[in-house]
Amino acid sequence: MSNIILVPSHLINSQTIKSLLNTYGKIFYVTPTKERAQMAGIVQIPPKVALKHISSEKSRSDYYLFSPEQFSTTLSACYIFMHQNVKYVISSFVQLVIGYYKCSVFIAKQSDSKKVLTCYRPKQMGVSEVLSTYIDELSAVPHVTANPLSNLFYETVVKQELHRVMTLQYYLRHSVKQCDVALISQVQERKKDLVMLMERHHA
Amino acid sequence: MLSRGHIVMCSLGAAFDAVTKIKTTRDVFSNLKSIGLSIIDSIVKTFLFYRSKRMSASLNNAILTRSDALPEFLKKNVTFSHPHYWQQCLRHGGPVLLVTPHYGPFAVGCLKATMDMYGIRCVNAFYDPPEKNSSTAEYKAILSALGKNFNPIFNNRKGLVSAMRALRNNEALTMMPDVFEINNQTVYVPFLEYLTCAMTGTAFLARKSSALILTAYVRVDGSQRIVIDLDAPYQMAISDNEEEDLYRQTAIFMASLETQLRLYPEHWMYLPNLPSRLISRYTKNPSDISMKIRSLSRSLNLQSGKKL
Repeated sequence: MSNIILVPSHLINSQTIKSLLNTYGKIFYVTPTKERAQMAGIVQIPPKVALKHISSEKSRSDYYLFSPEQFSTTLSACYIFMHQNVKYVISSFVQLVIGYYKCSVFIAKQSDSKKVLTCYRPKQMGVSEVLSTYIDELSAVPHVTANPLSNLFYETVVKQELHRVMTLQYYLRHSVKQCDVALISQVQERKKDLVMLMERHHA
Repeated sequence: MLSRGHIVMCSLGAAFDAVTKIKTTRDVFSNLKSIGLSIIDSIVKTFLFYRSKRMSASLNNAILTRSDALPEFLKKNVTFSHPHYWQQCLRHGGPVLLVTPHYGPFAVGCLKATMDMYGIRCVNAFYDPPEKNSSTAEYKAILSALGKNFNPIFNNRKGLVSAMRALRNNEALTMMPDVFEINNQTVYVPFLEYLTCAMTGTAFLARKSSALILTAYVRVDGSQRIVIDLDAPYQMAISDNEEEDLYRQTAIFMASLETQLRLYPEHWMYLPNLPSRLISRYTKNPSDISMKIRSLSRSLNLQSGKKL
């Protein structure tokens, strides 16, 4: 069974990574492709590669570190759950590694000295329970800039997806080979669905 | 209604605003620079932005308190950039769609239309009801100041039917294309080198009614004169593809606003909030477009029917 470490994104920096490397040895940092940035001493991999590793027998003792709020998702492939009357959306990657591959989960929190990260195991290993614990951890910290937790809000995810749908709709109109009828009608349908979800959420 | 004293007071007030409303001043200045203005022009236009706001507020106030002097004022002080476009619009036999954003003292423009069209056609103004948008609470009183030939229509389902009926009766309807909410009628269109949200509602009405479209921008020119800048009137090009027609016409409205903003940005009410309207830079390069389509489709789990 592989191990995963959920780390709130605002806590990831070279110092905290170093402290985790000292504790666990080899760690893979799973980041969405576009946001990957160089960080000394740690191997960064995209979620697809991480899933390949995790599903193979070889990676039993490996550690995979990531921040669930960094993964963009779509409502057609995601995990939706309620925590304290708020609807959250999590990428299906996170659901897969916790729920399907049954990885051993650790959640990182900042030590009192704020110099190192300490990790603990959540009391229950169900997907909702793990993520609820993580969300509590994420919301406990005062955020100076934009709150990373908001990336997991259902409403934010719907808005972000609607933005991608409308951007795609714009480019389809301006495409030279503008006749992908199947795609155009799928985009229109998705837009309609998302608007309906947003209106229902506000009602 | 707009005496020299008023202008001096508005100018002094604008200087005061520019110094005291630091955040807005910074926002307006940097937004003007982002449109492409030089530092000097941005400073001047920031001051003019506040003056335009003060003058619009002062005019609205005067309309409410001195409506008896309004016809004379509209006759003497309000002029058109292209009077023949206005004449063409007055002579037009069918419905007229007056498109004007939240720009300068737009209420004065609406009142001018109401006065000039008296006996020709009724003027209807389409806007959000006050319970939806509190800033429209005063609109009815201001726009009805002439006491005749005006009818407000609220932006709701019933309002849309009333708007259609007004156009079918060959009346005039004013629409404001620079407000939006996210719903099925929202599209992304190019605006100041970015994509922005716009509603296809105005285009929908134009298409359904074949109305003559007249885009107007009302501004105070620094003296006691109010100028209504007009684009040439036209009728919407209609094809078999309704969705494409609505998109194209909505893009035309926003392109017209962009042209006006490049000339006189200081009168646009939403200038301080410009960045929140600019969603993402768009590309025109065909290979970049193909790449965008591929990556967006993939991220949305949408299947292309053919190779792009």
